[in-house]
This record gives sequence, structure tokens and C-alpha cells, in this order.
Amino acid sequence: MGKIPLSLLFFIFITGCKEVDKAPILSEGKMIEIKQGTVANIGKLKIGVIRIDKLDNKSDSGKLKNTLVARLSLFISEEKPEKKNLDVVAGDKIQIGKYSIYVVEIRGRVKGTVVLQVKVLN
Amino acid sequence: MRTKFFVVMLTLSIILFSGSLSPDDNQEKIMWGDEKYCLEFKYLTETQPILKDLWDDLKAEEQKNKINDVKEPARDRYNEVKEYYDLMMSKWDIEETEKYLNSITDESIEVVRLWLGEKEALQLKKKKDTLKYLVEEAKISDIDKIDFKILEKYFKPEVISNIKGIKIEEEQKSKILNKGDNSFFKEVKKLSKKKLDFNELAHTYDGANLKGGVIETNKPNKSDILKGKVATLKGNWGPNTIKHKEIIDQPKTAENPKFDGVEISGGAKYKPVSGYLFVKNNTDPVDIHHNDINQGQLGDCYLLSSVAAVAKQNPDFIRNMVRQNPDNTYSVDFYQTTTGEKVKALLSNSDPKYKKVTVTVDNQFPLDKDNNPVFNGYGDTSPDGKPEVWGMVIEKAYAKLHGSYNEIDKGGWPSSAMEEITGKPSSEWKTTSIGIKDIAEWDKKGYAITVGSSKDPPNKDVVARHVYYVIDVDPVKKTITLGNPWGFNHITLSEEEFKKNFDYVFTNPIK
Repeated sequence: MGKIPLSLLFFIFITGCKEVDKAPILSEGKMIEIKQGTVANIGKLKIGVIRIDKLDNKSDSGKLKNTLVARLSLFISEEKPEKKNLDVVAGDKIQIGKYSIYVVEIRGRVKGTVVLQVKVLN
Repeated sequence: MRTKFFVVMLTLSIILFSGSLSPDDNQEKIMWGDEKYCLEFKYLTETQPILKDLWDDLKAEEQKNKINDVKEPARDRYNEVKEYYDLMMSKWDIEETEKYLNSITDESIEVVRLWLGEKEALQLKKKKDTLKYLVEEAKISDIDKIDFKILEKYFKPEVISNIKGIKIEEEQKSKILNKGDNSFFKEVKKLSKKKLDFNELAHTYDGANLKGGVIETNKPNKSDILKGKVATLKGNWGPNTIKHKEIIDQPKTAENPKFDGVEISGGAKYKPVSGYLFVKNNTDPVDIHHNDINQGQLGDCYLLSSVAAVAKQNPDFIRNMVRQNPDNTYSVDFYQTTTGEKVKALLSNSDPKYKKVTVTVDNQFPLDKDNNPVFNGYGDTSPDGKPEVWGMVIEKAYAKLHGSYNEIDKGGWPSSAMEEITGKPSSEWKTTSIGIKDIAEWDKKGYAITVGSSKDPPNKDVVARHVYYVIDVDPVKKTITLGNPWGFNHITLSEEEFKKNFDYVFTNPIK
């Protein structure tokens, strides 16, 4: 039996540990990717990624267990600022002000990323 | 008569006999450590330390024999130690550094202390600590432009020149030229073909001996942090935290700093922004306010929190730091120092010297398709609709200073960023070693204060591995209000919560 190269084992180990949760992409909405610890602006809406965890408990929307959960901070900088912090999992749909936000992908944990589709409601 | 004679003879015999039993009764004993036998006693101390306690019990003859026995090996050992010390304290090249640095152990320093003296042992320790510190530094930063003046006594000139990028200082150049000595140039030229990378050297020594390789200092307020803890700090904040490159000269390029390595949703382009540096409005009665900082998609919380912390304590400092020029460009002052300068400061228990570097940038910024900044956003809006831009100007100038936005996206230290902003040395504290009371005192003194969150903060609204700045401290209620450089999601915590969620506090006196 031939030896398995160490680099291959390492590759298997790395790819085997990759943490990604995905949901199908919707036909509408601007796609944005945000790194943990940073903020993206969509018009007056600011979305910050506070942290990404792998948790056993339910998300705020009551979906899925034992999955990647991203805690987002949403802020609308209007005359009456609106702020909301919440946990989301891939496939969640949330709304703040006139913005609808769909969670497409959550990847990694510390210094991971969250991919969202944001649509401005009429 | 016969009896009398017998008694006299017996007495005489006893006297004579007892005399022959103790022939050295009149021989003087040797005191342990006698200067006359200095080397012999050093040898005995090193090889038979227990002898010191038994020495006085030995007879004079036995003492003498011991001294005679070690006379020759003691001289040999002295020469050996002297040779070792001379070699260790000679100016090394890179290969020698690689070969010899690990041989300076605590034990060898003790041997030098015994044989050559306290002064020599301290010099050897200083060399070891300095090089270890440099090697540690080299592992986390590119020190290709380091000021090696402090190390001239340790390294051969070609090594220093080579690490500097074969830039020989003008002064040295003229000295050599005046002497008509070209051998130095030849040597440098020869070595220059083989690019010396100090990082390679660092990895060579990536062993147990270098753990926590931080130079010891007599400064009481820093030593606790410096001993081993700085190494833990490195790599905490940002995606690929690095310590900043040391830049001695302002980048000569007139180009805008690149951001092609930063992931930006929807892309971005440089576009001109017509704005004002500082804007006052209803929500911001003081034109320069920490809430003008609004982090975007760049991982530079360490910089923006530092800027916000300085703005909160001393708005006029920011006003003097950033200027708008008549040609629509902006000039920003930063301060930089070198690792060599820092080593020198540590060794002399003083503050490092900083060099002022002014960076000029134009009025173009990375904007998305809707013309919104993708990195630090606008501050307030003036009555004529133009945005306040001082935050994004500082961020752009800092990116230019460090080569690109890509570079500053890699994370960093708020202590370094604050030093680059103020030109004053920062201090770093573990939250376990200080309290709200201490932070309140620093706040009262006008210090810029930033704090670093832990990897997994128990409070789920605290951003993991993120740098915040201190907005307010209440020593009576024992609460602390922290500003998030995002411009929102600020947080107030009790002392207990603060210590659970944050690992480090960074302070800078600004003035």
C-alpha cells in the first residue's frame, strides 16, 4: 500500500473542516459580502457582522440547529435612526425599514464572511 | 635515677612523635576565594561547588593539593571562557548569528559572570536579548529598512548595510572613501548578490529558546506587559494581523493607494469627492467628533478606533494633523520610529524618537456604483450638502503610508497606530491587571484609550477581535462606554462585563 503524502492529508483535513452554510440565491436583490468585524453600506442601511458561531441553539427566526449562526448589527442612519442586532442562519429573510435582507451564505467563524441579498422594498 | 631518665625520654619521645604526626601544624591554611589562587577557586566553584562548604575542614596540605591539582585546568578554562566571550561579543555576520545566538544561554552567561565578571555577563545578556528581540520582530514584520545603529557593535557593517537594502549611509560612505578603502564596498557588493532576508534568520531560530523573545526592560510600567505578553498580542485583530512595516520615508509614488486585494461587494473605483475636511451641524456641534468615524469594508478597526480615540480627547490634534491644500489635495502628518530606535529606548529606559512623515493625497476615494465610500464613510453633511471627509482622508493617507489599502486591511495594533498618529509611545495593559478606576484616570489625563475584544466574547453584541475606543468611564457606577468604529453599535458595560469581553487596553498620552 502506497503512503499517503502528508500534504494530501493536510489538504483533506483543511477541506474537511471548511465551515460553510449556503442557501439558494434569489432572483432579486443586490448581493453583498461582508467580512466579520466590518460594515457594508446599502443606501442608508449599514450592516455589520459582529460574529459568526457554530451553535446548537435556534436562530431568532426559529430555524435550524447546529449550524453557522451570524450575528448582524443593522442600522439605518435616518433622522430617526433604527438599530437591530440579531442572529441569522443561511436562508433567513429579515426586514428593517424599507430593506429586505436574505442570508445566502455564512462562511468560516472569526474573520469569516456573510453573503446577503438586499432588496429595497417599495 | 633510671626512672627519672625513662620519664624524660618518654616525654621527649611523645613530643617528637606527636610532632611527626602533625607536620603541617605550622603550615597556614588557605582561605576559600584567596585572590592569590583566583583562577583555581573559580575552577573549583564551577566544577566542585560543594567544596566551598567543606573547605575549612580540609587540612592545609589537602587544600594545597587541591589548588595544585586544578592549577593547569583552571588556566585552560579561563582561556576557553575568554575566547568564547570574545567570539560572542565580536561583530557577527548572518551565518555567525545563526550559529552562535543559541549558544548564549543562561548557563553560559553565568559562566562568564564567574570567570570574567558582572559587567561582561551583562553585556553578553544584553546582546542576547537584543538579538532575540530583533528575531522575534523579524518574524512578524519586514525589517528591511530598520535602523541598525544600535546593533553596529554586534553586527559586521556589511550585514547592517545588506539588511538596510545595501544602502550605505552617506556619512559612512565618505568615511570609507576618504580612507581609500574599497574592500568594504567589495564585500557589500559581494553580499548584495545574495539577498539577505532577516525573516529567514528569524525562522531559523524559531525554537523554544526564543519563546516570548522580548527584551527585558527596567521600566516598571511596561515590563510586565513586555515580558512575554506582547507576543500574545500579535495577531489578535484583523484577518491576517501583521505588525506594520516600518517606513522611514514617505512613499514617493503619486499614485493612489491600491485596494485590489480588498474584497468589496459590487466593486469600487476612485472617484473625486467634493467635501469639507470638518463640518459642524446640529448633531455635531464640535466639528471634529469621534462619531465622524464610520468604518466600512476595510479591516482597519485598529486604525479608526485610534483616530476616534484621539479625536474624542483632543479634536485640535486632528485639526493640526490634517490640512487641505489650495490644489484640492490633503496633507496628513504621521510619526514613525524604527525597531532599532525602540530597542535603544528599551535599553536606555527612555522613549523612542519618532520622525514626522507628511503624506499628501488627492481628493479621490474608492466609491461604489452609487458613489458611496466603500471604506471609512463620510462624517457629517454640511448645509450645502457636501460631506465631511477628515476620517477618510486620514485612512487614505495611512494606506498610502503603508503602501496600499490592501496592507492596512490585514489588521494591526492600535498601540502602533496611536503612536503613528501622535508620535508618542503607547502602553499596553491586560484587562486582568487594571480596573475601571485606572481607565478613568487615563481618561481624565486626556489619554487616547482603545480596547481589544477577545476571540469569543460572552456578550454576543461585542464584536469579536475588534478594537473599540473609550467614550466614557464612570468610576462611581463602575461602567465603561465603548465606541465602535463602525459609527454605531456602541456599548456600555460594567467592570465585570468589560473584563470578561475585552483582553487588552491601549493608552497613548497624545501630547
